[in-house]
Amino acid sequence: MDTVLTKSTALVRNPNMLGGIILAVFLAGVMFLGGALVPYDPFKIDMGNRLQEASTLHWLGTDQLGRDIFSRIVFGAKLTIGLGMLAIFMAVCIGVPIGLISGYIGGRMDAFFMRIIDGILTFPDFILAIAIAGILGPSLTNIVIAIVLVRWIVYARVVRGLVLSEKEKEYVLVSKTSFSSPIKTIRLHLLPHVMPDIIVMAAIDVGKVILLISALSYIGLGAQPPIPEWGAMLNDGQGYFQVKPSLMVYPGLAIMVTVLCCNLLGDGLKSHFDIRKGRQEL
Amino acid sequence: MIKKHVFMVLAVLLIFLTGCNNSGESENTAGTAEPNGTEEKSLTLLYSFPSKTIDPHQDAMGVRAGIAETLVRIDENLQIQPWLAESWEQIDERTWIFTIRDGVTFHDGTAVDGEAVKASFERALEVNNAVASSLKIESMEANGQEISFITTEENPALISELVHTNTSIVNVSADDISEQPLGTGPFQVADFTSESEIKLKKYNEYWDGAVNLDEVTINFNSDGNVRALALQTGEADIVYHLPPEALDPIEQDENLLVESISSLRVHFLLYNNKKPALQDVNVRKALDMLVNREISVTEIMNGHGTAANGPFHPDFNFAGDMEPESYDPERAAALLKEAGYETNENGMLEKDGEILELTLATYQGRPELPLMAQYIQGEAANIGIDINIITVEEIDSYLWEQQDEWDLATYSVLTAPRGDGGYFFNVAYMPEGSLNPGQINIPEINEITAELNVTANEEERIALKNMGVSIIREEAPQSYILHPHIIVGVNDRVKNWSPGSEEYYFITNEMDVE
Repeated sequence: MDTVLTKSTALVRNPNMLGGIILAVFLAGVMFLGGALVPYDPFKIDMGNRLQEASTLHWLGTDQLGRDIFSRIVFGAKLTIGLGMLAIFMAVCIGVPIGLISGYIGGRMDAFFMRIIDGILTFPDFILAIAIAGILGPSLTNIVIAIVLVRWIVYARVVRGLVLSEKEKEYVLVSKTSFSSPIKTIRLHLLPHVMPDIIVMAAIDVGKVILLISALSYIGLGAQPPIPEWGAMLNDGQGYFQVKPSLMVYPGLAIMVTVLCCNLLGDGLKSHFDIRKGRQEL
Repeated sequence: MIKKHVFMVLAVLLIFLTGCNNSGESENTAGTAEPNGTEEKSLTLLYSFPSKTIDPHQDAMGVRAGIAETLVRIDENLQIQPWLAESWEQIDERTWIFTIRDGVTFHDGTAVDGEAVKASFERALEVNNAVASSLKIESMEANGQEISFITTEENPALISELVHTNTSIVNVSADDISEQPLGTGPFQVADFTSESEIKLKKYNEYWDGAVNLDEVTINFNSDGNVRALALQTGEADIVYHLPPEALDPIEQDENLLVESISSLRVHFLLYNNKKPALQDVNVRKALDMLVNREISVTEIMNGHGTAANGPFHPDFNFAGDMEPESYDPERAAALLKEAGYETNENGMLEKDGEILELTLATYQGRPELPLMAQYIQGEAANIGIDINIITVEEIDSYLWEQQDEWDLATYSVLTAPRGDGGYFFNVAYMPEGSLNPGQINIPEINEITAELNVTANEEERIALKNMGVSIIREEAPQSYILHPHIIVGVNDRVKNWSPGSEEYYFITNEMDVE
């Protein structure tokens, strides 16, 4: 009991972590309670009620088709954050095993994967995501695929680096000499060792990926109307940015708060897990 | 990491603030944009759709930019007037003789005579199939300043087809007609960057009076907001196709003028006749009734438009006299029921186990179209039709090359560009028409079009066109929504200029700046 308490107070004492948690609670509150608080359908078009200013009825006003902006942002939160997490989860699922195998087995397998990764790394990830999403055609599913395809390499590379330095250590050698299969060694000894790094990376990465999804939707490759993805809302609102800047300000703020939250949580977790290894930011 | 994002946000906010301030500052910038001391008068026009080439036989910009001119032109009342041809005469059903004005020269100084005009037409017919099929020229003969056309069949529309910008007269001996065409207009090309910029300089030997401006720059930008801002900052003097939602700050600026003129254009929905669901006239009519034309005009166009009762502007005497189709979701639902669609447990319409799911293609080039698409999507969802919107970059190539993918598309076209609807019947309804990617093929309309093509009598033509329009209303092969106004922003330093509804003549010798 005592240790749990000290642990959690230590967590909270870290200002990054504290800020991150507060924002996360706030976001979660808006996401799950917002729909109940505001009784509007985010897709309901009401032309008699367009471009309204913020009021007690419409907390953030209405957009160019008379839809309630707050409802759309709440709906968009589930979508944007959910997709960001999904994309990261899939990238981790692909990148981590490849990194583990590549680092542990080495040799030709390692060379093969690393050349693929080097090849992909020569392109800036945003440009590559645009190219992939452009080829696949505009849709939310396709940008998630595009993002997974450009983000898995980051995990594979980091995990491989960690494994390379770990695999010469005694506990791995002991496992090897006691005739454990490579799969068992990787699963029981190496995976737990790289997990904290992966969690921290993933936490920060969710923010990055949300930015990427929004950016792709903003340029028209992602969410198609009327889906209230935040980037798509920015795109919708840009025609009105002189007349009614709030159409762009609110989705922009939503993106900013979410990304900030992810970064704070990531940094907080980093100091919590005490990761000091010179991991290269990719 | 965090700092980076904070900076990004600050940068975005800064952009907002500067954007908002521009309306106030534009007074100064517009004033200082004029060079002091020098006598050079220059003007910048910003247009929405970029030209890949300025070959006058392939792109309208040749005539719009005042580089090339046609034999005849239309005036503000859509009446045909002489231009490079001072007179013409129809000898018999198939023979026309045009007399070319004396003293007209190409930009390289060579005189324009019958031979030069003939050579220009030969090239136009060769490089532009649409021109060839509308003119139907069998042979030409040049004799001094005269040129005679013999058509393959009776072609009463020949004279109005000669207004088309792609029939303009150029010197065919020019080295590079696609970038440096030599025309007869008040301005010659100084420099051209494809899809970006045309620089023009005054042609001193222009035949029709003095040219007031020394230099004209035409820029292209497909982003409506960028165009609106360019007008507010004084970067451009004339800006075409301002988005209706961006007009407020411009109207408040006393140095800027918004011209809103009714156009010969129509915004409409194309239905893909290859799709079984849309081959049913009840489905098409139901969709037609879901279009709220009144709200589209007042809200989406901010009043800068006219509700459409058919392809042609109601001011024309051949546009039919029906009222625009009224918005009626209940009747639409009834029609769909008649077509065999039942509402399933999810509230979606279903027929033979398949839900009514349609793909609606739209594009950003005309900013009001995606908005209409979303509006129609919302209305359709209310009665259980699932419409997916897809925003494409190049609508024309998409519609033709991916004919199996789309069901509906928002589109916009000049339906009576020369004050005559015959052209539109031919391109939009004939099975081989160049604006018929939905493969519409209605025998009655085909017959009317065929008859129209050989009818010279004006009254008979009007009657035929009215008949065509009423069949269009019955069959609803497309849904005509509204005739948008051409919204042009003009800096008040521009003198002697106003936009025309035909969108053919932008740069003139008379226009001037202070």
